[in-house]
Amino acid sequence: MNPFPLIGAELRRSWPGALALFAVMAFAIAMGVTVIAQERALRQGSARAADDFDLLIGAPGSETQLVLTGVYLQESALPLMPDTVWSELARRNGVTWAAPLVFGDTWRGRPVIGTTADFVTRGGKRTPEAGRLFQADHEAVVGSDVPLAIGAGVVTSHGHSRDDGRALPGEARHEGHELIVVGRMPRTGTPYDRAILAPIEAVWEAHGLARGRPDRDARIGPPWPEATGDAPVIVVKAASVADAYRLRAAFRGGRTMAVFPAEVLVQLYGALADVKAVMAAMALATQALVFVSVLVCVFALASARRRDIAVLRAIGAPRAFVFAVVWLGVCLLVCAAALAGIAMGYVATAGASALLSERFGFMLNARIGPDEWAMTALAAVLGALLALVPAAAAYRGSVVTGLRGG
Amino acid sequence: MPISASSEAPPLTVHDLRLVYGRGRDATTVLDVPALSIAAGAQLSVSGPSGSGKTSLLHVLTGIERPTTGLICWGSVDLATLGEGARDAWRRRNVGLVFQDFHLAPQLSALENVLLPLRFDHWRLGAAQRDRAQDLLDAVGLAEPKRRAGVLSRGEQQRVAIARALIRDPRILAADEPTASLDAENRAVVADLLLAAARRSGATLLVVTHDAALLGRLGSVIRIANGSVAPVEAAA
Ligand SMILES: Nc1ncnc2c1ncn2[C@@H]1O[C@H](COP(=O)(O)OP(=O)(O)OP(=O)(O)O)[C@@H](O)[C@H]1O
Ligand SMILES: [Mg+2]
Repeated sequence: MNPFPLIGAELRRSWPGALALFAVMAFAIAMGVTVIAQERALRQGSARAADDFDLLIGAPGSETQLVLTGVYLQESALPLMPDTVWSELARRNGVTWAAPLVFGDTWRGRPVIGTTADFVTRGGKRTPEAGRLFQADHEAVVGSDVPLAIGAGVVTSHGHSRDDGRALPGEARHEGHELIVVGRMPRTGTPYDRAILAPIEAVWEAHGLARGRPDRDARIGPPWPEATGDAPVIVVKAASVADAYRLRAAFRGGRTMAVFPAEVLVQLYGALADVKAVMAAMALATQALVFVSVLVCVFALASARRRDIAVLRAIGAPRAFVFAVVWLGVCLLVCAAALAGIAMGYVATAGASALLSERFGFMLNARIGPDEWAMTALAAVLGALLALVPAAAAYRGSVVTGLRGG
Repeated sequence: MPISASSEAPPLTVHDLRLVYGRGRDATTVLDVPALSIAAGAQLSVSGPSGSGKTSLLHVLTGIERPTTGLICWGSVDLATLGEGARDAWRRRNVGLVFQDFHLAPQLSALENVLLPLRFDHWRLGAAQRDRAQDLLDAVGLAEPKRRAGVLSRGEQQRVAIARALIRDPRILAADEPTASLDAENRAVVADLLLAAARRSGATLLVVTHDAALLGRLGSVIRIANGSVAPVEAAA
């Protein structure tokens, strides 16, 4: 038996309605796919950005803020730690590398971060893609997305600055503390791609703070024999997991706090999961509504086709044939909508990910995962099951009544 | 049970057939056939005034409708006792029908309409089957087999309906006013086709018609008035 010529002809005949049903179903599925895919992209993208940050030490305050500022470069006024914290850390075992970070300066809207070579190279694991590392306190390296060529000079500003370089009212530039770009780091897919990394001594100096060495000593980087300025964040790479826990315990409570960014992220994901649950529920409700309306349409269609079905039966169509004509027609529509929904969902996720990558500064990978396929398959199966109802109903009722148009 | 075109048409015996619509005070007897028997391969007409029950009789005799009471035996099969699905299957194997209102699938082409009964048990149709459908359309004089049935004139639809009824080489051919929408020339063509097809395969032919020319070419007449059929014995 082959009901497809009849199904095809039927779809062609009622194409505006079929197209509308298809579009509505595809849209509902795309919504669900986008919510799931986007949430995962956000979670994975943010986790990847925090990969290099085992442990953050900061002055007591908000742990979340410490992570948001230290890892994602979100602007904020973090409390500062005195240089004694650094000296204490320097005496500890189990530290592969550690680096203080200072924030607050910008160049054309991009963050300028004062740090040490260890942070820039992640303890020697990364090298500049072009040029070299900073070696003096008037040199800087830039992230992959900073539009500065090697050799360019940079005058940073205290606080905010405009993207186009025009002065803001009250903007204070660190004139006389010009930096020269000497290297460019490879892309990391993290907010640091937008940052200018300067020797921490350069930032301290620009703010009139102690730089850890006598003025005539031009070397940079730890250990600092003399007093230094304060820092809001120290990034620590521990030698082992046990060391990480030991270090966290040592710097927790009292004058400092120590957090695992991964732990803070898990809390944030908890909140994100709630948002996702709400959105997924909305998407699901939309899908349910859509499928109910599709069912209503199919029923309306089926009753309009009672005569057609009666004719099929009158000329001897087997039960399975009549059933297939109604059921496969809807299934075809549902499956096409499911595939289109996945495709549309992917496009939407890719678009949203591009926008959000820009907004958050870390890379979001648009990808359709097993959850999305599962949801779409579920929707398709549900649609197919719902379509059984009109298909089964098609064989009920008398042929004669159908033939006579009753 | 495979069909074979050469198998003999079964004889028909009807006993005390009644078709009643409604219940109680509203009940109307649409058909009352005390006895009717038709020999295998007979060719006969059904005639009577409008509303007398001709279409109802065809429906009951072909198993589209189940009678209220009575016996309808085609050979050893009593349609009155078969369920809906079994009657559909029996009809598929044995009957070719031309409806008074044609009942084509409007979205399908004329050719696809003729092929439709073959799709019930074939996934792919062979060239021979397509050629056969095309031959039937040629025989009824339909020039454009690719045209959608929905846009055909009534006369063209009627001819497609006849081709569709013949495609499975039925052992029982039942036609409800098959020439009503046709001009004299086409009436003759269609009548020739029906009679020849029935004669060639030995099918029993039942034609509801007012067409005098066609009436004259068929053997006996089943006269029906107000649902009542006088006892008829029709020989081949
Ligand atoms: N479902 C029904 N309920 C009640 N009466 C019905 C029903 N179906 C048909 N009838 C009646 O049965 C009678 C016979 O109808 P039928 O269609 O068989 O007539 P017919 O002889 O074919 O007429 P025509 O020549 O106009 O086609 C009519 O009076 C019709 O009104
Ligand atoms: Mg009639």
